[in-house]
Amino acid sequence: MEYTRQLLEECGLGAERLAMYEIPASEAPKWVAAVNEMTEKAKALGPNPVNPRWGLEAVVPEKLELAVQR
Amino acid sequence: MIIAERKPFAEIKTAVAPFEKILIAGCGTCVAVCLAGGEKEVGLLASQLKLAFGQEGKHPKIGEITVERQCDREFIQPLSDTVADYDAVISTACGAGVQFLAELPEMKPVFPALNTTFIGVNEEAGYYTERCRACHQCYLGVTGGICPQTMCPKGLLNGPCGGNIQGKCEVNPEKACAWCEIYAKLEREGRLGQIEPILPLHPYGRSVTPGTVIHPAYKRRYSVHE
Repeated sequence: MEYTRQLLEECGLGAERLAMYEIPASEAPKWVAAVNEMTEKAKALGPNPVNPRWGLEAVVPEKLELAVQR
Repeated sequence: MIIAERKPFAEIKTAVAPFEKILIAGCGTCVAVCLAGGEKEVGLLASQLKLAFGQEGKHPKIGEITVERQCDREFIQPLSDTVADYDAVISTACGAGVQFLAELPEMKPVFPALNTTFIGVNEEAGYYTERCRACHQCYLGVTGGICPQTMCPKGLLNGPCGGNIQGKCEVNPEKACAWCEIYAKLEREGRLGQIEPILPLHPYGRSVTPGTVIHPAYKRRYSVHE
């Protein structure tokens, strides 16, 4: 989790876009609070700076070859 | 195995920024075990580069491929064809793998993604420590399986320096003195006498780089005569 936040920070997206909450199944209000908190945070941070039209699919030469063979 | 750490992201990004088509070549052996350059880490680096370049409005083509070992020609040979579609290659192998890859004919500019650190062991998940300096002359049989070249920061071959404090190293007081450990181990095993003879000066002459080893069975093939 911390490592993933570090990776996001390194590539300029910002670590604060990712968080982990531990919420027991019986604690609905905590879940609501967490969702609201994350929503506020996301609104404050603004939209994803990466063009959303641009997909993130990996180009994997090995697998492409296999796909072509089939 | 070879232990390596990933370079800071900014350094890798700056190196490949001028290129439009980048192939990230992973290595599935040592650096995969130490979570620095295997298939998973190749995927992570590819995603990071796409996200980082995407924010600048750049969308380079980033390919991923991981071979069994980059220090073995039979595994990297097929990459000669793969790189035809790319302008640059990032290798997540150790320094040996990066160089072997860069030697391939038709290879594009190769950039390392890792800093190779040492020959070491997997203490626990994500925790690696150095054990061997590849010094060309192994005395582990004499020193009770504890390497004075590696485990002693001063690399002393014939007993401790005068600086150890109650069995702790003066260079790093959190660590045990290698020679105190060697003494204790040999004492336990009843073979203290074997460290009495003075070991000869270490054959540093043989450590001149680049080193070469030819297996005795292959001497004729490579025209090496005794």
